Amino acid sequence: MPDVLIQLFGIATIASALRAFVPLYLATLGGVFNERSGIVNIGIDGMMIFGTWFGAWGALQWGPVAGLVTAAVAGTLVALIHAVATVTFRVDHIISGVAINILAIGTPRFLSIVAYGQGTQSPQVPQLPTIDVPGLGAISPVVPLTAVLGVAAWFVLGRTVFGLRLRSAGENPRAAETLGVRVVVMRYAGVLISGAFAGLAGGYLSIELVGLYREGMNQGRGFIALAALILGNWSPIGAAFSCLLFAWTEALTVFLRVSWINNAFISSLPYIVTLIVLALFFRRVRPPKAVGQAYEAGSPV
Amino acid sequence: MKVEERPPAPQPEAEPEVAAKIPFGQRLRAWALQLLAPAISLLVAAVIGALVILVVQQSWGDVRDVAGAMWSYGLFNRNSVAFILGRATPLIFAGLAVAIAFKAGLFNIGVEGQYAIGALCAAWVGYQLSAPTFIHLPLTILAGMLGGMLWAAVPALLKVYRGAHEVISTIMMNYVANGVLLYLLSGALKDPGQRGAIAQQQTPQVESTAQVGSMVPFFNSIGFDFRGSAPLTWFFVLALVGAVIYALTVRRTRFGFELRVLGTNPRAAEPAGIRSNPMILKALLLSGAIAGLAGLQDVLAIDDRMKLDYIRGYGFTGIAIALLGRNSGLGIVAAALLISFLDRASTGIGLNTDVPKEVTYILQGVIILTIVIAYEIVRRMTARRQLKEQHERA
Repeated sequence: MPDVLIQLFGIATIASALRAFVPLYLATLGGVFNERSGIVNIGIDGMMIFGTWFGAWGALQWGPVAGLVTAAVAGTLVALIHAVATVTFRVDHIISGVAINILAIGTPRFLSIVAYGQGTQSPQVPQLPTIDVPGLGAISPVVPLTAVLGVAAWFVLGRTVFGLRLRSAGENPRAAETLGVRVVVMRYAGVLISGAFAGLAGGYLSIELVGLYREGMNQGRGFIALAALILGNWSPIGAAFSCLLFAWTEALTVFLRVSWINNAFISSLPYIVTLIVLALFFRRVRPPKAVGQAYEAGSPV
Repeated sequence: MKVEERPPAPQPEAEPEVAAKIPFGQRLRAWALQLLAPAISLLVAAVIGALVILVVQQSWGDVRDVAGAMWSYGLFNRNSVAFILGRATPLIFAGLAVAIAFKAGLFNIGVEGQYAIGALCAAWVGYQLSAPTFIHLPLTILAGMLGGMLWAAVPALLKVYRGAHEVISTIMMNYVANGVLLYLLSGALKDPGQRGAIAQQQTPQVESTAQVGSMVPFFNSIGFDFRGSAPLTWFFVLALVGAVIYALTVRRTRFGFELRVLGTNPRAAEPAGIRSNPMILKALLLSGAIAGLAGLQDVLAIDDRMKLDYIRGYGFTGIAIALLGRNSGLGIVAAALLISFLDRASTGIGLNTDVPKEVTYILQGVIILTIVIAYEIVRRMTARRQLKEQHERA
């Protein structure tokens, strides 16, 4: 048994968890921004999928760095659709998000056929040079970048005027508006930042983690990110811990399948853990007060 | 949009029956407005589809080819009508499942997993049991519904007792369903009759007493000329009956009324004596049970067994259909036929043009995005007109 324990918490599993952590945490950080600004973004998963496709495509065209940028831009553009629908047209946030997820089922396949002549996979793409970290082995430079982005997100949300305004739009848009905060602008910003993060997360997944785009490679990570967001109490710091939990579960799943029980059901583990987490913690957290509500600038109460 | 002549508006002081006597012209206009939204959205989808083709292929000829193929192959190919009706069948069930949850203000994104588990249960009862058709078939269908219900029960209970949002939990259940399917179809429920490395991950064939027949002979007897292999079965009739029952339940029963109250104004529900938790539970379970029907046509009438490549996206398309059909029974049938037509047309695009047939996926996505925005615009137009009328009256 100690052997198993060592493997469960050993270097290999930690390294694997770290790799799984990056896309999850990036997507969750994005989620923090849109939810804090008052907009629910169920479409994060779809934005990640677009990120995986455009990341691989961009990397093939111009190299891995440009690939990551392309992924972030693609995510932002898809997020723009969500922002227009929810902020400007005040469509139900969930409906718009679901629509984006549906768009993300078929569009990448169409794009793949156009770009690669086949629907489900891209050729191998160039990757960033790895960094050697003693003990963990070679890791992608996106891993430290993610840590930097996490700190930056914490700083921007908690310590800057912009962050305060963004949060006020999600807590009490009416009061924010009376104080001169342009709620619509803040909400657009929240959703677009979220899209950029989700796109980057997808780009990391295809370029750095796998090395190519494959249909269905995202495996619902966007939805797990939503659960991580809730468990992390809508904060960049809390999200880091909740994403670590989910990433470790994912690493554990891989480990179990490789070395212990090769049972198809084990692959459901991350999703079951997500369900358990939702069941245990959903009531104990405090979402932004006005999240999910439509807001019409200047309208009577 | 300016409207010159306006029929006399009902007086605010008049007795309540006036509401039923809205002038015909005004009602007609309301109807036209309702149809305006889908029309706008289809138009926008067509424009965006054309733009995508233009960007990708850079020729107007291809746009024309695609439109031509969609029209001539999608509608007038020998088997197209059979395909459209047959492929619409699971979509109608999926749309109804999503819609009944929508009515209660709930999002059942888990139809995908629910119909997979439902189909698995039905297949199991279908090949395990041997009984005369009039017992076996209803039991099999019931098993499908129970399977879907079981899979919806987890998110429903989590929602009621733990407050977990159903969107995330139903999606998680979809992934868990994938795992269950893979596990059972490569293990306990795998067809033992096959050997070798190419063994399919599928169940044994369901007994003939649990199979549902093709509707092609019936259609051919009334003058159509469909090929025997067309996927049109008697489940289509069941789907239509389902849509009628759905419409009547939502509009005419107490249960339907309570669902709608919960969906439109949850805060008014409790004071009106509607206990929301039992209603949430009922709505989601019912939604799961209907979802369980979506996969049955494939298992009991087309493949006659449950296969692993099962996840066919009916659940997500069902969401699009419920939105497109505005959660009305008739609307859902119409929307399912439309999506099914797009599916058939994509075959035509693949056969007759140089454009990848997956372009219809983009059309689907755009349609559902634009439809919600179009409904919102129409709603605002109506609201603005009502406001103006009120002002003029004052």
